[in-house]
Amino acid sequence: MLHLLAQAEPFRSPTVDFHAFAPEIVLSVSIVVVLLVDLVFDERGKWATSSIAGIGLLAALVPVLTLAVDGADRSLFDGAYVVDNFALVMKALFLLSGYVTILISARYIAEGDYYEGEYYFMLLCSLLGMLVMGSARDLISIFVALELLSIPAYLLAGWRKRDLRGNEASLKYYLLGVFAAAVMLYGMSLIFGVTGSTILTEIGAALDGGEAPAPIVVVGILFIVIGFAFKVSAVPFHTWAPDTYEGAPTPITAYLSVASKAAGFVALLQLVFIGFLGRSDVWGPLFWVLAAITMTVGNLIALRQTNIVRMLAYSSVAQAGFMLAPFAVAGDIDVDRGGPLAAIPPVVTYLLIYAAMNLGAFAVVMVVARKTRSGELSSYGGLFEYAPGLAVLMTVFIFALAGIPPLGGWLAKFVVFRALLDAGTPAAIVLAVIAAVNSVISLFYYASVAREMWMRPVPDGDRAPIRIPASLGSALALAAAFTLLFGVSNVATRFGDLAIFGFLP
Amino acid sequence: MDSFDDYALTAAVFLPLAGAIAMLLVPRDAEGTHKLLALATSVATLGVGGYLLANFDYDRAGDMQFGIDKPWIEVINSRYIVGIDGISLPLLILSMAIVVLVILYSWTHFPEPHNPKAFLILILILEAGMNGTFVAQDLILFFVFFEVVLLPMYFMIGVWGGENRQYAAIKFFLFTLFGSALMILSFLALFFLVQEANGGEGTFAIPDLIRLASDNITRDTQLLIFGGMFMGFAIKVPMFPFHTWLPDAHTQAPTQGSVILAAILLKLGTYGFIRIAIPILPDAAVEWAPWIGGLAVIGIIYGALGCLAQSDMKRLIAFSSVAHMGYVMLGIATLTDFGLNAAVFGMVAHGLITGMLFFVAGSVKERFHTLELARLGGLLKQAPRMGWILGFCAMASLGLPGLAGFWGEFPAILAAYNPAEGLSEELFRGYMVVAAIGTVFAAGYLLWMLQRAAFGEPKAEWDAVRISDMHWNEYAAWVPLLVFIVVLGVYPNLIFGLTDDAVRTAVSALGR
Amino acid sequence: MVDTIVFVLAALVILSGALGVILARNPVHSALMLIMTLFGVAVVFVAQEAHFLAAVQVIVYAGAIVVLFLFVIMLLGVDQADSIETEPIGGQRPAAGVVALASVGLLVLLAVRAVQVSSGARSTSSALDGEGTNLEKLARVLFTDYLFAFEATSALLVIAVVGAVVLARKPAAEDVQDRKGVGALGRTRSGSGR
Repeated sequence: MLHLLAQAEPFRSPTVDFHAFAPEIVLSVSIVVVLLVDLVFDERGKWATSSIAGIGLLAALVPVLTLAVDGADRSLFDGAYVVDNFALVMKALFLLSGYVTILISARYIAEGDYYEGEYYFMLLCSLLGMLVMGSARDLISIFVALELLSIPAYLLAGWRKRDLRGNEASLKYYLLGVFAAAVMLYGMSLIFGVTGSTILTEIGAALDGGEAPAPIVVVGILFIVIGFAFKVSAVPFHTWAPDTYEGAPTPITAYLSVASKAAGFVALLQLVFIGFLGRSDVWGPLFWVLAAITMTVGNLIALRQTNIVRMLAYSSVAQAGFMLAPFAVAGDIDVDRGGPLAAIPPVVTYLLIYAAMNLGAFAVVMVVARKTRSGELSSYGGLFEYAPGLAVLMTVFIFALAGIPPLGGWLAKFVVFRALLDAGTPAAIVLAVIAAVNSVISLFYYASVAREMWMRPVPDGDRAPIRIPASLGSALALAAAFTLLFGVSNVATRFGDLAIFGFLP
Repeated sequence: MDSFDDYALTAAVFLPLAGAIAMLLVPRDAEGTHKLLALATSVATLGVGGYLLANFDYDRAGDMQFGIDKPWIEVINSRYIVGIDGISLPLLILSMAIVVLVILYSWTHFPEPHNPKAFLILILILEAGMNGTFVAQDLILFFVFFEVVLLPMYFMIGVWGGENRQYAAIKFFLFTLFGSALMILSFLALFFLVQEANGGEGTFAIPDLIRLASDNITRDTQLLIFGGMFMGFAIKVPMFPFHTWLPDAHTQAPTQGSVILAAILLKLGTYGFIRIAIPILPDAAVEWAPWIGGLAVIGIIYGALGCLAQSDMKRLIAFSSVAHMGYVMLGIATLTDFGLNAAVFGMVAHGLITGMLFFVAGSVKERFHTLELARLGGLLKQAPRMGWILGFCAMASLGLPGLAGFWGEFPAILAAYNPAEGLSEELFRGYMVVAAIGTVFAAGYLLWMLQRAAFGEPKAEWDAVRISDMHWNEYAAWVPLLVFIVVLGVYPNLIFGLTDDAVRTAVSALGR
Repeated sequence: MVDTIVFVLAALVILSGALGVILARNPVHSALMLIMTLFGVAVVFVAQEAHFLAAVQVIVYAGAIVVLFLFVIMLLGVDQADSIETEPIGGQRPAAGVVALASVGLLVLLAVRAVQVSSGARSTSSALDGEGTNLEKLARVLFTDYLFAFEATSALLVIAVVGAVVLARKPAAEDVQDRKGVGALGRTRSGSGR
């Protein structure tokens, strides 16, 4: 044994840039603190875990800011882990939407008698996975990040474990998620086999061939994209979403539909625009089909929903279709207009705006449910009469989702249309028309919420006002402020433009 | 104070919003405070309008004035460009004035379910959107303001409207939104197609597009882009056959909503044609003009026939709107400076007169709780002053010379006699004849309405009901409108003097 | 030549094992057949000079995971045979057949066309380059290039432990079902749209 050790080259530990890892380290420390506090404190002290989790997230934002001020792109582990502007923008998005999730969770979890400490532990772990995802630039890191963010999410989806629908939510999400991961992993192994590397930039260099792609490459890319299509709930891989959204605790539903979806898009952006950049002939048509049917099917089914959570679930499916659209045409964008990479800012901008408005909508759903104990659309009848402030906020979020200026959503849709017309090919224009028709269709069901709130009578005549807890109130205020700010200023597009990759093949 | 020039238009747009935000902070029960706040805001906004009127350089009415140009959304090179010329100014002032009058009228006339706070806030948001549309000189800015008016109007109809309010509200919303979706695609197409000519960067600035668009875009593409804009604006006008939302919206909307809808919102569409579609794509406009003219005269006749079939006073006025906007569109379709002058005048006149008619209809409804013409009658006996005012408005609306309506209709018909170069004279003269026949119809249906509502003996069912005549705030809201109908009728140069230069600038591209 | 013989033998073992897993009526037999398959794969790994992988295959898969399977099967009771005649979702079997055929077609296509792969990158079908044993090189890569992913995996293990506790833990008081909480926002399942 000893002589074996003597034989080996002396081990040099890799140099690690701790500043680059600081957000993850801060978050990991708060994860440990949450776990310990949960262990030490008894039932009456458990509430502290939510505060610690919230503070931990905000604290993790500090190194993100210092890294942003520093400005240099950092590449670690031979390019497997990269801190560039894209990573920082996405990390900020994850941390902020995680913070809002904690704000809307606090009362729900405390009052619902669920395990508190473990809940925040899981939430933070999932967010850690997202932070890693923002920086992961090789297949293995992406896979580990995906598992790190998904496994806690499977558990969180079933947190109401004495409720059958909660169990169904968790189980469906888990089984389909694992299946998707397996498909994706198979694709990754094929790509690794062909290119001989797991680093995305090297894969990008190896796949950048002029001639027709080998079938094995096609299958590899197809499988990987399908794996993430599950994650972002694109049709026809969306079937888990409505049941999971309905059965999961509402804060987790909000979290899944915003942060988890964003993480899926982040991975897709990295894989497609770094790893498979030269093979847009493979993924372009694939994304075209995904985008077109995702927005159409999502909208058409959303029309028929009478439960607001399910409606928001399908609406988020449809919104994912809009986010997929720029992928579809990326390969057709002229080089002098930025080339395929010009498709990234619209997606990032959309993600930012979508996060604000969707979290806001879910926060309102939670506040209203505190009174009505229901998620039925009809329970929103006459909301304007007894809770005008809430009704106005919900109106803002709903019409922002519908894309009515000057509320945030229009700019998101606008940048997507712009990318589509920028490409200018017939296929892109057809997709733009499909998207335009879809945004009109979506208005039907968004407006039905407004109609319920403003124009229908109160269903049971109970006009007692709704008390809004401070944490939910601040979440609402944050979401509303960002929704309006994004609509009338260039903040979102500015960040979308900032989010560029530091290292490309 | 020179520096205020730079902020005057911004103030005109955002003062109402500031007022709305202030009102948000006042509790709902303080109704008096809300009314005062809303009135003060709208009067202050009108004050800004007065300042604009006083400082507008009337010798340069064809140029953009009070302009500012600030970066806004840089990545899409959309800028905050505002400015007014002789076309925008009268419409901007009209919008400011109508809002003040509507708020005055509202003082004691809040429709069910009451709630003055929300109602007045919506009116102020509407005003911000309308004023913004009239001053925006950037397509994206224009689009945003164009859409801002949708939501308040949706809620105004849907919450405070009549029995079928929800249907009417969503119909209004969907029709307009569908047009907007195509319109924004057209705007984007313009953005990209001038990119090369503009030094590699696309632009949404209207002056730049006027300079670049027609020379750098192929003819077929221009036609398509014009088509997209046509859908957006024509639905808003509304032109036949996209008008079906209008009677529903008008019938169901509360009085204040109807007045604003008729007086201002419909003008956003025609204004869009004059400000954006025609100057930017003059060649496509020439191609489209015969079709627009055709739809316009169909609208005139269809609107008139529609009026004759109505039994509800408000619905009748709504159909008369379709007919009147037909004249405006006919004026626009001639593509001559004469026709466009007539169109702008027609827009203002229609705003004043139809606004007034809806006011009267609202007050009648409030007293009788019905607008069924079959149940009305003898208004002149029950409430003589209101009856006379209704008669006066009907006269103005049918285009009696000496009142404002005449100067909107007559020149538009006249302009069709001699349309712009490139348009078929025979065709437009045919349109002219049809439009002239339309004026006879107009006299027919308006006098018929007047006869059924105001003349004769009151029906027996009202014997026991005490019908009050005018209230102080009805006077306050109506007298300014009536005065202007007369003043503009006697001295139309007040508007023509303003618009003439600006219109010449707008059509100057056509002759190139 | 030797390689080919080894591969053919191993492939036979793998495939017959796999078939056995599906076809065996007794779940214990299925599990044992699975072990056979996994052993076959391990042999293939050895043929590829992936000794470490082969060892992991045997120890982790055959040793630990299948034993776990057997544990569960035994705990649940071997005699509980499910009827596989009934079809839970209509049309599932024909659909499965189509998908299976398509998959086979895809595999054949891949196998036929795979020779044309020309990416210019090095092949990964042999052992890692350089001095030293496989194990040592793996360890070195794991603690340098993939250190971060390795560390992140440790977080996964903690999550697994906590998650297992949460799932298995009995509530302190029974029937505290959503005592004060908002509870489900869903409606009854009947009639919910898909």
